[in-house]
Parts: sequence; structure tokens; C-alpha cells
Amino acid sequence: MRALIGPKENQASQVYYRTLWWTDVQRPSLKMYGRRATDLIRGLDRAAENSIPPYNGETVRAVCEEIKDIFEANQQDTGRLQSQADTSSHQNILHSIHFRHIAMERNKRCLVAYHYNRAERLRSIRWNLGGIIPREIRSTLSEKEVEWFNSYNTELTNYMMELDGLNLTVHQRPPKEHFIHVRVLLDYGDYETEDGETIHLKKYTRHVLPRTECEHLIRQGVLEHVHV
Amino acid sequence: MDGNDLETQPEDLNTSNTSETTTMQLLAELKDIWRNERFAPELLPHHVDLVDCLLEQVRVMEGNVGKARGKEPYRCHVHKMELNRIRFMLSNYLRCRLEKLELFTTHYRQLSAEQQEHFLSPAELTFLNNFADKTDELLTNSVAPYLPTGMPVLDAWKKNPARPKLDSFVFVQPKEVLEGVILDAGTQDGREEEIVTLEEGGQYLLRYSSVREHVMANRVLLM
Amino acid sequence: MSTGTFDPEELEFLAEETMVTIIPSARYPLFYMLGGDVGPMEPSIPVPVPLWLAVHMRQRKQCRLVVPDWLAVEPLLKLKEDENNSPVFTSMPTKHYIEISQVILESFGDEIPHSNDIRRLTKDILDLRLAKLRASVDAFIKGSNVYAKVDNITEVELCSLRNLLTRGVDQLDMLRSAGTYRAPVAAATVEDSTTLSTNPGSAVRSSRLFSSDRNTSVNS
Repeated sequence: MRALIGPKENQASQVYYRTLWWTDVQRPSLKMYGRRATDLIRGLDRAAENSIPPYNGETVRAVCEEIKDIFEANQQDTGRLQSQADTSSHQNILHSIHFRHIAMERNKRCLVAYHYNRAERLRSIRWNLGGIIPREIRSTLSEKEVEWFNSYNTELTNYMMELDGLNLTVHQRPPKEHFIHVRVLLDYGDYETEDGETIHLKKYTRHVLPRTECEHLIRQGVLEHVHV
Repeated sequence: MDGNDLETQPEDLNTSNTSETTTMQLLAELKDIWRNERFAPELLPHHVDLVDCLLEQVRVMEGNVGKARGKEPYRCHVHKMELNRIRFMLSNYLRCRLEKLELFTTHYRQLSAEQQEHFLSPAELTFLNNFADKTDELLTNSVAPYLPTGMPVLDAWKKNPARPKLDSFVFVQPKEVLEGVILDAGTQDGREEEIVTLEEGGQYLLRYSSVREHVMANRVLLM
Repeated sequence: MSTGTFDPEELEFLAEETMVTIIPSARYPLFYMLGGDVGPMEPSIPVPVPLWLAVHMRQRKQCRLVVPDWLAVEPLLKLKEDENNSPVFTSMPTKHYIEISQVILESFGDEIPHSNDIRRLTKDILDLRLAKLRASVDAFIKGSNVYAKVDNITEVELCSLRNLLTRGVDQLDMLRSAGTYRAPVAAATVEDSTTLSTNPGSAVRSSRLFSSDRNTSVNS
């Protein structure tokens, strides 16, 4: 380009570019990069530990838009760097590029952290609630998350299949036998426990039985939990 | 196997390895490796043979209990309680390992094939690979459609993945005398490296990195 | 689930593996347990069983317990006195003394004389030991130590120690790796770390609970 224009025009174009750069920086529509990304993270941070707030697709896309804008701006500036003969404003341009790049990387990092943290919560759901997503939760997930949950479920199931029937999600707490005192409310007759033991449940008698055995009988009104 | 029931003394089982090992010994071993796995900041070498052996013992006993149902309810109950305890230990041990794999996915994926074979059971390796792929997919595909074409999403993350914190403090009880244990006080403090000898049965507080090899070789118990 | 520590329920689970002696009230055959044979049991004949089984049998009113020797007022008073007089941890009858005493008192409490006193004494001993622990951990972290001998420590104290340590040490590690932290010049060098405070009346409990005494050869 230098070859095509004389020294005076060169000076003029220098001023032009410098002005352009200034207006770039002072563009009124320029906002602080990374605000939407922070919103994303903050929303998750506020949520209670074992819950999943609704997928914030709108903000995710906004952050991506910002990344696109940054990317394009940097592409432009890189072009400027390459085409511009006068290197005096190179430093400034390089600084802009670098600054935008960091902002872009931060946005990407927030996006990854957001989706990763949600996946962690989903994982807990699998361990605590089983392989079927409860309806209330399903509506808060993105389609891709539902897909991920299902494949996690499959991976876990396949892994446990190698364990001779040991279900890791069932034996999460140390086994504790809870016996409770119960009183029989009506003449039920003979009751066979899980172990094949027969107990005669006669009205007004008291027994000490494992909680698991009693629960449904209490619900049916056959037994009454007595607090000793 | 047929004819085994709760009233007959079970045969001692032969592990695929070397000598006859009783189930009692296997359970004692499980307790040790369980403890170590819980306290080690990284994944320890797998013990798939031990686990498989115990799982089978549990299954056989479960079958015997089923056969005795109704005949000896009290005996059944006691055996079931023990089985629940063993299942808890096994589950807890295996779950701890899965958690480490999920936490440090990229790190364990980066191990050589040889190392992976040493540390992960075949089933764990399959789990790791599928889990890693699917999670990468989720993270990438949730945003890639809205980004410039071909822009990498996970590059920075993969370059600096979460890794086990090997300098965490652990409590250690050596099973034998350990000489030449290097305490790394951190050369930034200008301290010199120190070497100590740990007595058998003593109890120490140290950085895991100082005793890492000994843990892997089962020469110490983590507390 | 947290890698790196056991929670109270898990500690109790571990403690329940301990063998205790019971006196059954009925006859039971030999149980071929995977963890070792139990029984056979004859009424009124003492027999060793794992604690978890003793608890179960008690709930069904099928046994009495032979209370371990150390779980009584006199022995515990002595232990408490020893603990009070020693700057370091004294040896406890078992690594699970707290969990075992709690389980036994809960399940067999009405058989045990002075159970309230026993409960109080074990708690007193624990409090004494935890106080020693806190002072030592403070010194340990501030001195940027990377080694300590912690003889006679028990499970519950280990858990407490882990909690105290992790918070402090992780922060320091972070600061150190960021190059912003310089350890204060350690008062305890290898040479003078062998002195343990032997002054029983010392108001400030010595922080020498952790013996930094090493059989060491310093790399020069």
C-alpha cells in the first residue's frame, strides 16, 4: 500500500487508522465482556446443593454470541495488523487482541464450568434417586443433559453388571438394623417374616421387630409403633 | 457347590493366584485396601481378583440362605446381616474408585495403556472411556452450535485438567520398617530435604507423596 | 462421600467388627460366617462374637454382655488421670474406644452399673485429647511441618485432626504455590524438637503432642 500512495496520503491514513482505533475503544455500545458468563455461574451458585435450576439456554447463547463477536473483532484486528505497514499502532492493536482473547477464554471457561457443574448435579440425582429422571427435574434439563443422564445410567448399569449383581447405589450407607417396639392392634394371626420366621400376631401383644418388616403392617393398621 | 448349605462348613476357596486363601483372609485384605483407597488422594492399583472372589462368596452364601429360608430363620437373619456388611464394604470401596475416575477423568485417560491396566479394572476402564466421551460430548455440543465453526471448546480445560493432589497429608502406619522416606518440605522455603525412617507399627502424619510407592506396594496402611 | 475421611456412621461400622464376649440365653449352633466361625452357643456360657452381632442379639433379648475391663469407672478414672498428666497422647485400650463405649452404652446400658459416669468419663478423656490435638495442629501448620509422629491416636481423633488440618494446610499450600507465602522461621528445628514438655502443671498445654523426633539423616 505504501508503494501506491505518496507520503502525505500515508500520513493521513495513519491518522485515520489511529482515530479508528480510538473510536473502537470508545464505542458507546462497548460493554464489559463476561457479564453474562458471570450471570450464568452466579445462577448456579445460588441454587441449593442438591438441586438443578432450569437450564439457562438464553444466557448460554448470549455468552456464545459474545464469543462470536470477540472472535470476529479479533479477526478484523489481525487483518489490520497484517495489512498495515505502519507498525506504530501495532502495540495497541495487539493489546486489544490479547484483551479480547482473554475475555473469550474466560467465557469459554464459564460455559464449560456451567455445564460441568450441572452434570455433577445430575450425577448425584442418579445415585440418590435412581435411573429414571423424576418429571419435575426433567423439565429443568436441556435435551443434551437428558441424553447424558441416560448414557451415564447405561455406563453405570454396565459397570455394575460386572459385579455379580452388586448394586452400588443400594449399599451406600453402613447397614444398621433398626428394631422397633410394636403393639398388635387386631388379631392378624400368623405372619411370616422375610427370613421365614413365623410370628403370631395376636391382639394386644407386643413385639420387637425389624423396622423394615413392620412398616407396611403399620400402614395397614395391623401394628402400632410403641415408643419406649 | 451343590450341597453347600448353611449347616456345612464351606470349603476353603482357591484364588486364581497362588496359595489357598480363606475368606477370612480375603475380608481382612479387603478392609485394608478399602481404607487405603478411601484415604489415598489418587486411584490405587485395582484388586479385581479379590473383589471377584468375595463377590462370588457372597453370592454362594446368599444362595445358601435362600435355601434355608423357613427352616432356620434365625440363622438366615444373622448371615444376611453379615452379607449386608460385606456388601457395604465392597460397594463403598468400588464407589470410591468410581468417584476418583469421574473427578480426574482426563488425568486417568492420559495414563499409558500399561498404567491403565495396572490401576483400572477392565470394567472401570470401559466406564472411564465411555464416561469421558459422553461428558466431552455434552460439554462441547451444548455450545458448539452457537460458536464460530470449528472453534475448540475444551482445549484450555484439557490442557490443565484436575489432577489428584498428591501432596495431601495422610496418616500412615507402616507394616514394616521403611527406610529412606523423603520428606519434601518444599524447596521454596529454603529447607533442605530430609530423609527419615518409619518404624513398623508407628503412626505418622506425612505428605502422601512421601510414601506413595509404599502405599502402592501395600507396605503401609493409611489411617 | 468424601475421600479422605470416615464419617461417624462409618466409624461405628468399623468399631462393630471388634470381638466382645457375650453370655447367650439360648442355644445356637455354629454359624459358618464368612468373617470367621461364631459359636456354638450354650446358655450361660461366655462366647466371643463380633460387636455387631452382640448388639443384634441384645435387641432380641438373647444375650448379656461381659463388659470389657476398661469400660468401668475405676479404669476410666485412671485413664483420665494419666491423660491429664501427660503432654502427649496416652495409650488407649482400643483405637475405637469412643465408638465402642457409645455402642455398648446404647445397647447394653441398663446392664452396666454407673453408665452415666462411664459416659461422662469417656467424654472427658476425649475432650482432653482433642484439646491437646488442637494446640499441636496449630503449631504444626504454622511451623510448616511435613512430618509428625502421632502415636496412640485413635479413630475419632484422627477424624477431628483431618478436619483441622485440611482447612489450614490446603490454604497454606495454595498460598505457597502462588509464591506469596514465606514460612516463619520454625522454632522447632530437628535438634530441639526432642524436648517434650514434662511439666504437668503447665497452664499452656505444650504443643509437643506431635513428636517431631525423627531417626533422621539430614541431607546437606
